[in-house]
Amino acid sequence: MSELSEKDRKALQEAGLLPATENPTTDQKED
Amino acid sequence: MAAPAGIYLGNNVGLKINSIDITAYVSSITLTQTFDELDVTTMQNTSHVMAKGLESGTLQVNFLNDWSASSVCATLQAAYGTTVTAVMIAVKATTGTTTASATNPIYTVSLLINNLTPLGTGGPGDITQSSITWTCNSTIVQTTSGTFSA
Repeated sequence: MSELSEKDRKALQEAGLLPATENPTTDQKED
Repeated sequence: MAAPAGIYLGNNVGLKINSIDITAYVSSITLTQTFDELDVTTMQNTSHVMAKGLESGTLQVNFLNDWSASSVCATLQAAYGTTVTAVMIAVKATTGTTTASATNPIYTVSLLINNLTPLGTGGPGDITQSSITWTCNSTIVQTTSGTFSA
């Protein structure tokens, strides 16, 4: 498994695609 | 000569809608991203000067209709009229989880599922399939880390 990089996490959060509190280690977004 | 690293056949693009992997039903896919161009030309400019505006995006997908439980039609019908997350990867591994990288990025976007063709299109001799374009409800985010799991 590959964790999201901090840069990627921030980009997803800014786009509203990842909750600000989420800190996933697998899929970057699971709805 | 082998293709340079980072150039792929288009037969392994992965697509998940609302966390359901519908890759196996997709026959073609086009993710389009664009920014509005805003004209900020002023006196003494000798050419138009354009500035970046808001981003727009669309996802166009051709897929085979499948009404099996938790398959593409059920997934999309449940999502109809809502905004869902779509995740795409350039090259999905044939088995297991795919790890994103700089040469195999993941694209994530919110989609408004505002149109479907639940019966598909085609005649008696055709496989029922759909050709749908959805409007993006967020920017399209490219990431080079994380994973894409089926």
